[in-house]
Amino acid sequence: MQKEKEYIIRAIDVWKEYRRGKEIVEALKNINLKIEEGEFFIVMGPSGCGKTTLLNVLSSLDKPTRGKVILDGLDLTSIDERILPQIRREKIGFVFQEFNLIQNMTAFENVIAPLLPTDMKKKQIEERGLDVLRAVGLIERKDHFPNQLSGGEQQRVAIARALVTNPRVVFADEPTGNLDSKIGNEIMKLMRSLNREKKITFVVVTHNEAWKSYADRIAYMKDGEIIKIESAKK
Amino acid sequence: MRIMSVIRILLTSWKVSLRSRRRLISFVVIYSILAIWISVVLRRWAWTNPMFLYDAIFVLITGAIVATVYGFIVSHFRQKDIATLKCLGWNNNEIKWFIAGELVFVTVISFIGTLEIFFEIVGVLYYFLGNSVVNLDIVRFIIFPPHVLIVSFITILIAQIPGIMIATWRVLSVRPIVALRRTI
Repeated sequence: MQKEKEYIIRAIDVWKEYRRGKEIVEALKNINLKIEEGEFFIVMGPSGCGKTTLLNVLSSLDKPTRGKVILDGLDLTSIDERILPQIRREKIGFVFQEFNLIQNMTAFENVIAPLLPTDMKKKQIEERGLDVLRAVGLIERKDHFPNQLSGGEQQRVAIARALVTNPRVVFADEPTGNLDSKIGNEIMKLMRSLNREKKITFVVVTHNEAWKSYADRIAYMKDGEIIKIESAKK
Repeated sequence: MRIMSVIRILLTSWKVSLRSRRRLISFVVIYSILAIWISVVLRRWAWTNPMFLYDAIFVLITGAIVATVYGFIVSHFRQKDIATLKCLGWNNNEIKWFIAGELVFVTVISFIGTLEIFFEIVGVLYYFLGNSVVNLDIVRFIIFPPHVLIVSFITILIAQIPGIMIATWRVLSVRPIVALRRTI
């Protein structure tokens, strides 16, 4: 398969339609988008505008009704479903609004969870887990369970988990949605610094206008369409 | 899938099931009762006894129902975890090992736990009463011949099949997109 190097993500004429009873709802309408490698890309818009649907489609969690999504040179829309888990493991990291940590696993065990089914040696897995926990500043809390951590700490564990596989892209769906503005700001700062340090592309979906300053580019959505892409680069 | 990663997944699944104490304790108690019941039925093994077959079928069906309920509970309450693991790159087989590992683990520890308690009881009674313990009703009740224990252990494991099938089917049916669903 030919690799397309310049953009880590490309969405070409992407449509997503749902059937609601007899009605067909167009959740995404003719989305065309190119995201560069190492970019901190924010998707913004009011609730129900299709932000999360776009994230689902770009991250292989959902297939578009029409159009193509190319991630790191791979056409996600035509790829065999059985290969998708491997692509997610190797190329994609996820950060969720509700953190989605497994409650009966410690912070460290949650972080290394993506590596458990791999061929890596135990020592390598542990080293990698400790490295990312150190990177998010939670090494001393590694043996704590999610219910012993604050919301901000849980989200930092989730970010560490997203980074442990050295992904090409991290998709974050409203990562600060369950946090107060101060902690939310810390989380955005952390993601931005990891993006700069590790050159990992971040695609962040949010409705919070305050986070605009962190982005390289911002896509504004309304009624399933991207109405404007604004570059924040000076 | 490499053997090492299967072992890692199983060890994690066992650790996780040991930590979900309320669920673990209730099902260990249920499985222990089931193990004793099966062993008692098997001890009366005699083809000439028409009640034996009914008892055996009844106990097997009960075991299957318990396992089905457990499989359903584990997979139902873990839906978001299953979806999250799928987002993290786990495939269906890997998640099946994770869930089935818990079901089998609980069965095994219930059986071993029950045996251990019986050994302790007999040991303590022997310490105080000596050889006369063999005449006690309780001791006669809790001592089973080895072949009965082996067959009842295998029977309980067989009764797990529907539970594992239910859990497996639910693992397949959970889409990774569920991980993004808000609970509020």
